[in-house]
Amino acid sequence: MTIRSLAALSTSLALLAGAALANDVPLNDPAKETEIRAVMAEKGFDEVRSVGTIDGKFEVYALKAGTAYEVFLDQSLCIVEFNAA
Amino acid sequence: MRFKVWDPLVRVFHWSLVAAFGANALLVPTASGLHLVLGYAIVALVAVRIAWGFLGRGYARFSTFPPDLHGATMQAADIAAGRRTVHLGHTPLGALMIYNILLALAAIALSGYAMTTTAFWGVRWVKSVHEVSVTWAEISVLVHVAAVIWESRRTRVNLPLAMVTGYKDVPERSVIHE
Repeated sequence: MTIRSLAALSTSLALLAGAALANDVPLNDPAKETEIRAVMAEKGFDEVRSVGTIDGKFEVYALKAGTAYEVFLDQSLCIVEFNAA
Repeated sequence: MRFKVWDPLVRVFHWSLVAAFGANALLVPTASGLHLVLGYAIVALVAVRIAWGFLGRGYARFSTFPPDLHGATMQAADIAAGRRTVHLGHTPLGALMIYNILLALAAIALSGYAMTTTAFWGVRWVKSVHEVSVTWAEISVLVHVAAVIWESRRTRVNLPLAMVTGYKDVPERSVIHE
């Protein structure tokens, strides 16, 4: 009973965590990453720290004039959203 | 027999930490402002608890539950033999879990704060440290809850209730460790 309820508890916690923490996945595509870095440079970002994918978008951690930004690009590499840290 | 063991600060700390950590690990979106606010709240809670470990009285004091491998081994032997030996304050195994969780929270807080700074912005390994230490803390919480249920059954002392009321109700004829 105890073991079973703990198993149920841990399963539901894992599911909840999966739902809340939709983390980005590192982009495993060097050619695409080069393209993205070029777009970011063109848009005036000085440094790209990491590129990931999340919800069908690209998520880029970048710096511009000393300020940190989280930038989202769609599949055609248009910036759709960016947030300062 | 009834023993007053946990003062209000210890109990409020425990359940506030449960609420804040549970919310941040499971419910609050990680990129949100609330995630950071709760993270800082946890740092404040832990800081107060550490200070109380030196300034408080009774079983709140760290000196009553130092890391004690010998004691932990004895407790494991009690568990293996099914002996109903009771500890009034934190048990030696419980103490090890407390230090483990405090260290995990320190790693989570430090890496989480670093992730907000320009210096460590978007740096993958910092994010990995944050995620791995959160997973470690979550596993620790599950082990902690399982151990509390197990020990409540073995010793016939309702440990979760004690963390609510502050009192341990120990059955007559139990062998009690101070």
